[in-house]
Amino acid sequence: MTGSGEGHAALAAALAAAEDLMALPGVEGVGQGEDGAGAPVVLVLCAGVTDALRASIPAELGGIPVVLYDIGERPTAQPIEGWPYDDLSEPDFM
Amino acid sequence: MHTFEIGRAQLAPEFAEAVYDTKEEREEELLGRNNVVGVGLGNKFTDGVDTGERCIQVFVDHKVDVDMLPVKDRVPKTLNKQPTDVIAVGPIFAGEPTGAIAVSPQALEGRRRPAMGGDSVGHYQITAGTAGAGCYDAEIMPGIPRRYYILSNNHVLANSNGANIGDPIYQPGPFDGGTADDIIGRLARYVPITFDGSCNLVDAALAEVDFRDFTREIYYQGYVNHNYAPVNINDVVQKTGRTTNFTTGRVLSVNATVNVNYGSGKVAKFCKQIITTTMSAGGDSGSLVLDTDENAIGLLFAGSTSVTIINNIGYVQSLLGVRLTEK
Repeated sequence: MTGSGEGHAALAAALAAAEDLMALPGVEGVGQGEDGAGAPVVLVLCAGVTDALRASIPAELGGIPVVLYDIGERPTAQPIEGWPYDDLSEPDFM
Repeated sequence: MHTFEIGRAQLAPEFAEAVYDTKEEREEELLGRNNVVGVGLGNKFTDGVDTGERCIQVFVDHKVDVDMLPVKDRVPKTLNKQPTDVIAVGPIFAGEPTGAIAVSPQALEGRRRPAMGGDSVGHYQITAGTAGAGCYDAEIMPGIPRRYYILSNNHVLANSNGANIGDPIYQPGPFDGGTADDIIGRLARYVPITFDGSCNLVDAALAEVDFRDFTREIYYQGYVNHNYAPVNINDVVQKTGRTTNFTTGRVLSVNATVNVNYGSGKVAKFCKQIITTTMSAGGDSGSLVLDTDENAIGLLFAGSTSVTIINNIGYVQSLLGVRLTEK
């Protein structure tokens, strides 16, 4: 499917539809993935895979299988954490 | 409904259930054998060559001649007709490695001139992130670049939209002891991050630096080969960053849309992202991600406990108007 224009269109439509799933609590992202045979799947990135999510998410979107993937929690921008930002005063050279 | 775990999903369908179920069924028994420190699923290697055959991987402290082992501790060549592969990984410890060759966790937190890709850097009001790579204005090709930059994230160099152009950038970043004596450059430009639910493509910014103060070499990786290479699912990618040093990951997803937490209740939606297995931690933001041929593929900016999120480097260079190399 990945090699045909029709397949690309189906995948693009599935990914677009998958974005609606991000309205569900615990769904932090969606993306294009592959199964072990190289066929496209829609990955649904979840902050914990719950029974409620399993029940809410369709098995497929436009013929593309949907796979739940547990990412633990919502991703965070990754500077060093814990620094007291507010305590920093402007340096005297400014 | 496909609610199986990704570990099973990644196996060939005709093979998935038998090898997966056998591993699950026999895992505890295998771990009980002397010398076995782990069990997993993967491809079987013979004489260092990937055979492509799925197998149950049995990780051992060190390999021992089979004749030296009691029968109860030997690992059979097959389990329930599924192939096994014994892999020596050395002892596994929780926490920091204790061996004499362990990499210092502070390896890239110090001041360096010229600084390199991978070094600690940061806007004077943030903690610290990573200097991804050197770059210059894309329009100057061929020609004489008049300005040189460090490429990193908006939230590293521009304080998540909270900075002014010209603000000082420290190397190392403030968290790593950087002060006004450690200014390596000034914020030159950045792509604003939106927090209104619309799509962001990149978390990216530039600090202008003196040519002599930053080299394009990336610590432990060398020089970027090409400005851009397409990335495919299951590709292995690499980065060097301030916190976790040199790491690799495997691409799980492309064209991903994901919500990212920026603290203080701010969440930004990012589209067209690359998702990999975890290869980063706090402080690695801004690392340039390369494929195994040292071609640029992305700019690392976020992660969870199990995945890392990467901007597509094509968008990064296009939106900032820079290039990393001449190729």
